[in-house]
This record gives sequence, structure tokens and C-alpha cells, in this order.
Amino acid sequence: MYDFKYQLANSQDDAVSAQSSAEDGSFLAGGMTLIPTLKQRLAQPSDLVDLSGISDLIGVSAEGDSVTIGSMTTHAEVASSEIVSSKIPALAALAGNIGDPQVRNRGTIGGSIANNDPAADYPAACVALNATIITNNRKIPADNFFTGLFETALEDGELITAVTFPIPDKAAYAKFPNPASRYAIVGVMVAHTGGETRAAVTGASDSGVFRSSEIENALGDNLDSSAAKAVSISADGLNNDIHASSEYRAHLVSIMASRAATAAG
Amino acid sequence: MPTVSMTVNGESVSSEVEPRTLLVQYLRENLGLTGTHVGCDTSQCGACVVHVNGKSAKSCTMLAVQAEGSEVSTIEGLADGDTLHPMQEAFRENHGLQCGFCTPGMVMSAIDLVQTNSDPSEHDVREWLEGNLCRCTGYHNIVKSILAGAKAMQG
Amino acid sequence: MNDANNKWIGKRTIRPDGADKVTGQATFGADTTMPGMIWGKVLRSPHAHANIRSIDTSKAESLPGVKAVITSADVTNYSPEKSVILGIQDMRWMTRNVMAREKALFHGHPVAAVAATSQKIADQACKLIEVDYEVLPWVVEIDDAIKSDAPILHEFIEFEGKPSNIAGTLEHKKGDVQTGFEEADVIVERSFTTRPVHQGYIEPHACLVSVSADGRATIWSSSQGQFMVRAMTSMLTDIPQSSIRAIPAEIGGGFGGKTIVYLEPLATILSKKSGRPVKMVMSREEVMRASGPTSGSKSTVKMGIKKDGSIVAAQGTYYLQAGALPGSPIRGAVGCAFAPYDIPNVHALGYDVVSNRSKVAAYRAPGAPIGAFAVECVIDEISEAIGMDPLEVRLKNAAKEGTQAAHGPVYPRIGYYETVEAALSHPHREIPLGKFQGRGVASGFWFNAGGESSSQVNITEDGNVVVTTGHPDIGGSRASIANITAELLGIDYKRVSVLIGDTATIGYSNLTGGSRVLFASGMAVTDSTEKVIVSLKERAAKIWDIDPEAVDWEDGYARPAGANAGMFDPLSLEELAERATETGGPIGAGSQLNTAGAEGGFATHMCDVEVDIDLGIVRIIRYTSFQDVGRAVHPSYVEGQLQGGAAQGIGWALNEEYIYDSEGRVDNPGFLDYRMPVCSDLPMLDTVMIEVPNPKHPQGVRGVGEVPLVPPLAAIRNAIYDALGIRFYGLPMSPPVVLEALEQGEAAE
Repeated sequence: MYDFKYQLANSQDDAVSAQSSAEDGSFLAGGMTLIPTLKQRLAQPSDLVDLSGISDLIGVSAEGDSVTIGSMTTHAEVASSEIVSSKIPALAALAGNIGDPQVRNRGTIGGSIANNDPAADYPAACVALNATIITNNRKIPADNFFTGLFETALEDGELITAVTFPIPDKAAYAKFPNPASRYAIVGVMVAHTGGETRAAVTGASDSGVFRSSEIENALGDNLDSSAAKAVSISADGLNNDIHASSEYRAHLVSIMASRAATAAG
Repeated sequence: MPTVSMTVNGESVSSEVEPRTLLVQYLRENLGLTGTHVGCDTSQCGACVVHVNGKSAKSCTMLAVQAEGSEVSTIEGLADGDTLHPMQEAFRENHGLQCGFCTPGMVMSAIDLVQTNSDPSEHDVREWLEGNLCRCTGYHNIVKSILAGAKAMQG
Repeated sequence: MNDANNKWIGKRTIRPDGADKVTGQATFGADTTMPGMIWGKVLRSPHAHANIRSIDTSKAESLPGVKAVITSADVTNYSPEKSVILGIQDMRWMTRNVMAREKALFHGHPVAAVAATSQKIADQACKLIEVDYEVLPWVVEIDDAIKSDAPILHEFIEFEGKPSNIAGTLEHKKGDVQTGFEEADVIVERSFTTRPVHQGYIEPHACLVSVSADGRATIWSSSQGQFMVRAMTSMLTDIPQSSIRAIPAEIGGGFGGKTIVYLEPLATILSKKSGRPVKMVMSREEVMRASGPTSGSKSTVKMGIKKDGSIVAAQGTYYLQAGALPGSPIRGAVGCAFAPYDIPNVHALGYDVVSNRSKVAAYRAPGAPIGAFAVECVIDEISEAIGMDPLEVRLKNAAKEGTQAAHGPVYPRIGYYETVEAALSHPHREIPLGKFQGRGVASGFWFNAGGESSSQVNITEDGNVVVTTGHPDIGGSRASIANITAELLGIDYKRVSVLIGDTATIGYSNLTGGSRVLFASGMAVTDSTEKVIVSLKERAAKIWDIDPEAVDWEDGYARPAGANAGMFDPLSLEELAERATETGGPIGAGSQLNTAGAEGGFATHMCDVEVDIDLGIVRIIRYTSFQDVGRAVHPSYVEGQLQGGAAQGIGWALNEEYIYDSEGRVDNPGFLDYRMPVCSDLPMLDTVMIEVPNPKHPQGVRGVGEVPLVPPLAAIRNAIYDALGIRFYGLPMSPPVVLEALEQGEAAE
């Protein structure tokens, strides 16, 4: 690991000013991706600004037809949250299957989506549920948030404070975990919310999470699992690595979509 | 260098560390708590699992400075004098180890499981242990040990 | 000794090191520190194959904090022309493995090492070492390595009169296969591939070495043999063995991979040069890139069977990857392949193939799983071809006492037949299977080893017992030694402490390997304990003033026997210990044995799988191992060997493999990408221990540790066939591979 300066922020303002005054500052949320990245010397920030001391970034609340999750809420907290479990059980289930228990105890929703790992689970939930990512400056629809491989719409110094999920009528997530890393080789979240069906795919594409219109059309309003299974997804532009070819991933997209649809009921 | 203070196994400790020091390095090299092991460097093997504020965490994927003000417990802090923690005793009695290298992480992870799920099924145990690798046992006796340990902890 | 009245043998006693291991007190390879200690670090080749023209270490040496820099010039050289045998290793290869000499032979091959006051400075120093490489064409796959125009790794290795990557062959012949095949009603010939897999021990290699000013070295390290560490370090540093003390740390798994040295000689030379204790710990990436996996292989097996089920001829040809230096486990492949069967005509041939990969190291029954995979798959096919149950075919052809094995020996009493019988009658076989579920069986053999072991059994002044042996305990062998000693002495096992001695405190003991530890050290400990009992009886006789022959030792007491029976109160171990000074001094005995009679081990495995046909995932839903274990001195740790081997076999069959990129580098050098089974991948692993006591061992012990990895690969493959009707000929049978086969099958229909 390269050396860096470390600061524990006490407030959002504190965090933003510390990050922006640093030469090349990074926010540190749960660290479940950032610390392995630093260990591998794949990043060299001058400063780490730890967000774990900012209490107003933690917590879950429900208001009207949506659930809002603070950005520093851990996966374990989301998974065990009564609010999330009752309003959006698919999201609780997704959070409860991220990585392993130790990752879930420290990893946070904000950290996960800010990093936008192409194999992370949360981006699929954000897109399929049409979530809104709230930052210290603005509200960004999930559709505009994830812009590419490890890339998001976040600007330098912009801090995710919460994510708001509309409560779907039906939703479920199914993933095929990598047998070694337990990251998603392919994961698909399907949701039907207020007349709209969405299917968001993670793990499959080089450029991160995407919506599959073929799957969405096949699923229809009833989340037809057999129609989803019959969809033939093109392998073009899908990941091809030592764990799975792009063809295998393409196949997984329809199967996982179909399984998610079945689970959504 | 910043100073980090925390409680480790009930004792307050305070040291100057480089920010890049991992919690596992701090525990092993600064505090001499070598029961927490390093097996993989990439957060898979779980030999380094400790508890931070009562929750299991991989100490190879945490900076020591992130544990500032925390209660950290390691495998060395579980036993009460010469009385083993029920989960430790369960591993010993059920032969839940062969080489024993993964054992500290397994025990720490298992205790966290029982804290969140006091009556786990075999399936629950197997799912929970996804972050702990063992290469010796095929996990058979580890699962048995944890089921027995869970009962004993309720005991 | 083998009866039901045993008090400790066969009991599930608490292991002596249990408390240390569950409390974090046990000291593993990386856990020792010393005042003044500095850190060693290896600089590794960035090329798969390159001549080393020169190495300039001057910049590294002048970096503040750097205390020593070494290259192959500092390591004892052995000419490649002449073998220098140490155990099963050849030191001319070992010296080139611990440090590249003429050439860097694989990506990750050590080319230099540094010692510095901090790990950071050691890292920096490595970057300052300038190596002038002449990059050469490289080769990693067998087929490429044996092509006529392949890049040659070692010009001095010749095959059929010209430089070659085939470094050796091994052949076993029995009868005449041509004649045998003529008698067959059905002949099946198939070709197979397996991929290299790593032992996957969770503890990376680690050591601490301190060389004193007068040249005496103390080595703390995690290995499968402190005497191996001493001997290899001595031969690679020119320090005499008498000046090296190798202290075994607890070992965090080995499975064969820690039967050779990687770091110890380098740390010794660095310590000698720097005058400081030097610690070296491999990262997981270094473990995966540069320590031995086992071989990948290609093979062809042909077997002929008559309609009545008798196998009349068998032929196998195996090519095994050695890695960059000769020495693949062809002996295990060709020797074990057909060993469970009484086949009149056998021809087995193995080729040792070098390529630009890390040198292979032993892995649990080295070579045998590769040998058995092909044979056990073909047996499944010939059984089907004649319409006979594959277990019945195995039973009909089972090797028994008196069978001449193709690899040479005539078997004494062995328990292979019993493992098949047990499988045939086991309830597992009756459990109905559902859709896309299948059941497969396969058998396996491993030679097992005897050899040198030493022990010392001492009675403490307070009448308890300390046993010292010379074998690192990886899987609970101390518990078994405690059981044997307590049984012989007739005392509670808790009164027996079992310790692992270092090279200065116990006599030479060969490796913890070859499934030999309990066989050999059990013999040595039995011998020592029996000597102690003789001494105890003599002391009682002296106290009572009767003939020692007239004293019995029973349940921890000396008792007057024969004509003197009942004349004196029995004397306990404590009482005799208390009176040791007046009866002849300290009570204890040592043994140094070269043990023989280990005899082979056999197993039959039964496995049920369920295939997710949409995804190609194969799940193991039920697994039962049937093994002749000789005598289960500690059943829990015998079962543990069976379970652990099955789990490793499941990993090998379904997911594990070394993957190389287009530059000849390992592309999955860590647990992030190398797919070992986790707990949720496996079911409970059932075991049936069949006890056919080894007549050549005082407790009937037969090695049990390695056989369990031999049958799983084929058992799983045969189960997948039962589930899907698809036969696989290569490993791993990972989801993409299985799915592709399913799709091809569908397309064919």
C-alpha cells in the first residue's frame, strides 16, 4: 500500500472540505473494495477521508411509497432492517447475499454504488428499482448515475448521502456468484413498479450495470419467467474473462432474469 | 504518524501507526496477537476475522485507524481465564480442526453467527461461512462444532 | 492391541494441541519474532522464460536500511549434469528452484532476494535490482512442450537423442497387453486431461532464520519436516547439518506442498550476510505463482473386458507437467492407476514433461488422482458396455492378498475388496435419485510409506509421560500418539504430553508425507514405550527383589505375577517415578527406526450429484467414502482425512485450475480467482472406515491421508454421466464447460 493521509470526518461538510482540499482525496466508506484496491497498489490517493463518523449518513426510513437508506448503512443493516424487509424484501435479500458476512458487516450501500464495480449487486437494485441517489448537492436518478466501468455521475467532492428506493409492487434479485470471489458473475434484478417493468443486469457487461430491454419486454407486466428464459441475449460487449465467456454470461442473463421473475412471484 | 486508540480484548491500547497499517498488522506486529492469521491478502480466507464492536470483520481489509475508539476482540480474548469460550470448547471437543490455521477466524465468525442467529441450521452455518476457507476438514467437523457451540452458547 | 477392550486406541480423545489452536496460542510459521529481526523479500522474474545475462544489485545494496542482497551466486551450485539425490528430490533442481541460476524458468521464479530493516525498504530494494534478461520463447502446455519445434527449457535434457522437454519416463509392465486385448469382448480407449491444481494450504510459506556470528543457524519455519529443512538448507548453504537447528512451527496445512524448501535457504544466507535474524513470509500471490501446484496431465487409457466382467488387459499412457524443472509425479500416476485391480496384462507408461510453470510439488497421493481419473472413468464405460454394475466389475477384479500389482509388489492382506463390498451394501446406494441427479463410483490406491522415524518417551518425576516425535503434526497425529502411548502404559491419555521435537532434540525423522506419520512414528513410539515398560518392570522387581520376568505391567501398575502374584502391593507409575533415583535413575527410552511394511491403502467413493441444467452447475448432494484404514487409532482424525481429501477432490473435479494468460503468467494467483470449495459448496461428507489391520504394524495402522484424494475425480465424473448421459474427458467440469456440453447434446438431438 502506498502511504496516504487519513482523516476521520465528523460531518458531511467536514468530509467534503477535507476531500476537496486534498491533492487527490478519496472518501473511505466501508473500505471493502477500496482497501483491497489500495493493498494491490491499484490506487494512490493522497488522502482518505473516513465517513464512518458521520451519524446522519446511517439509517433506514420509509416515507410514502419509498424507502430511503443512508449511504453509510451497512449491507448487514439493510438486510436486517425491518423497514426494508417489509417494504422491499428483494432489497433486503440482495443485501443479505453480498459477499460474505464480514463484507456485509462493514460494506456500505454508498460505498458500493460510488465504486460501481461491474460485478457489484447494489447497482442492479438501484437501476431496477429506479432509485434516486442523493448527494450533498443534488438528486441523481439511478439511470443517469452509473456511467461506466467504475464510473459514476459523481463529481469530484460530491458525496452520496442516501439512496431512495420507490417501493415496487414486485421485485427479486437472482445472481450467479463467482465460486471464488463470490462477486456476481451475472446478477439480475427484476422489478415491477407502478406499471413499469425493469430488469437491471450486473456482472455481465464491461461497462457495468445495464437495463435489458429484451428481458423487460419479455417479462411484461406479469414478470413472465418463461418468456424471459427464452430471450436470447447477444454476447457482444459482455465480459469475457477466466471465469466465464461472454456467451456464457449472455446465457446467464436470461436464466437469472427468469429466476428472479419466478422469485418475484 | 497518527495515534490510534482502541480497546483490544478489554484493554486500552494506544500507538502511533502509519495510516496504511492494516488492523491485522497492528494486532500481530504491534500488539503481538498472532492468533489472528493472514492467509490470502485478498479478503477471501477469513483467517484474520476479529470482532470490531461485536461484529465480525476481516482485519486484513481494515485499517488500524478505522478501529479508532472501537472495541476489538481477537481469538486471544475469548477465553475467561482457563475456561474456554463455548465455541472454542466446541471446536476442541468436536475435532473441528486439523492444522488449526483457519480455526481462529472460524471461531470468531461462528460466534458472530450465533449472536445474530441463536439457533442456526446446518444450512445457515454453511452459508455464513462463505468468507472462511478451510482446506483440511471438508468443513464437516467445523459445521458440527458450530452447531454444538451454538447450543452451548445458549446453554 | 486391536480388540474392543482398548481403552484409548480407537477413542475420540481431545487433541493435545486443541486448546492452543482454539485460543490462538499455537505458533505458526509467521508468528515468531526476534530482537533485531529484519525482513527478507524475493525479487521474482517478470518473464516466463529468459536468460539472465547479469544482475546488478549495487543500487539496492546502497539503499539505507538494506542489510543484504543475494543472488544465485550465493546459493550452493550443483551441476545440472549430475543428480544429487536427497530423499525424493534432486538438489541440482532444488538449487535452481529456490533461485534462478542460468535462466529464469517461469514467471515468478526467484532471481534475487534482499533483507532490510522494514518490509517497505525490502520492497523498494527489490525494485532497485537491475536484471538484464534475454527474453526467450516460452511454453506452458504439454502438447506445445512436446512438439518438435518447442522452446527447449534445458539443453542438457535429452530424449531419444536430442534436446527435449521430456525429462524422463517410467514404465510398468505385467503380462502381455496385446494378447490380453485379443481376449477381450469389449475394448474402450479414451483420452483425458486434468489441469494443475494447488494444494491450497491456508498458511503461506514463512520462516525466521537467525545465523550467529560463529555460523550456527536456527530456523523457525512451517514445513512438513524439520529434518528436510535442515538437510536442504545445509546443502544449499554449505552450513553443516550439525550447525543448523530447524525448529518446526505449527503448520497451517501442507498436503505435500511443504515437503520442499522455498524460503529457508534464502533467509539463512541473508541472515548470514547481514548478521541479523531474517523473517520471510510469502504473500498468497507468491504462493500461487511460485510454489508447487500438482501437475496438469494428458493421458490415454485402454482397457479390455470379457462379457463375464473380467478385465483382461489395461494400458495407460500419461504425460505429466513437471513445471520448470524435472520431477513430476509419474510414479504415482502410472503406479497407482491400475493398482486396485488384479489384471493379468498391464502396461503403464509415464512421461515427465518440463514447461515454463512453477515446479510442481507433492500434492496428496502425488500423481495417483491423475492416474486413477482416467482408469476409473474407463471402467465406468466398460462396465456399461457389458451391462454390469460398475461396483460388481470392481469387486470381480479386485486385487487381494497375493495379487501381483503391475508396479511390482505382491500384496499382503489388503482391504480393497472390502471397500467395494461395503459400498455395494451401503444404504447410500438405495437412496432414490431425482431428475438431473446421478450417482457415480470410483476407487483409488496409494502406496503409503514407511521410513525413518524417531521417538523419545520419558517418564516425568511426578509419574506422567512426555513423548517427543520428529514429525510436524498437520492433521492431529499428536492425538493418535497420545492414544497409543496411553494404551500401552495403561494410563489416562491426559497424562501423556506429545511434543514435536526440533532437529537438535529428537533423532532423524523423515517427512510428514506419504501417509507415513502414524505408521512410522506409531512404531517408534510403541518401541520406546515398550522399552520404558521393561524398565518399569525391572524397577519394580528391584524394589520387590524378585525376577523382572515375574512382573506384569497392567493398567498403569507393576504387579507381581506368577509365583509372586499377590505378594506385594502393585506399584503405580507415580510411585515408580518417585523412586526412580534409587532404582536406576531417570526413566525413559528412545527409538530410531527405519520402518517397513506400510502397505498400500485403498478406497472406494460414492457420490451423488445434481446438475442445474440451466446453468451447468454441478452440486454434490451426497458423498460417502469407504476406505480400508487399517486401524483407526483416533477415528475423528481418520474421518477428517477422508473428508478433507474428498473436499479437495471435489474442488479439483469441478472448479479448480491454474489458468495462464497470453504472457505465460498465472492469471488467477489468489483466492479471489482460484476457486476452492467453500462451506456452502459441500454437503456433510460421510465416511465408512473399514478396519483391515495392517499385519505389519503393532497397532494395525495403515496410512490414510492420501488415498482420499484419489477416487473423487472419477466418482464425480461418473455421477455426472449418470445424471445427464454426458461423459466428460477433462477437468474441471465447471459450469461453463458443463453448460456447453449440455447445449451440444441438445443440438445433437
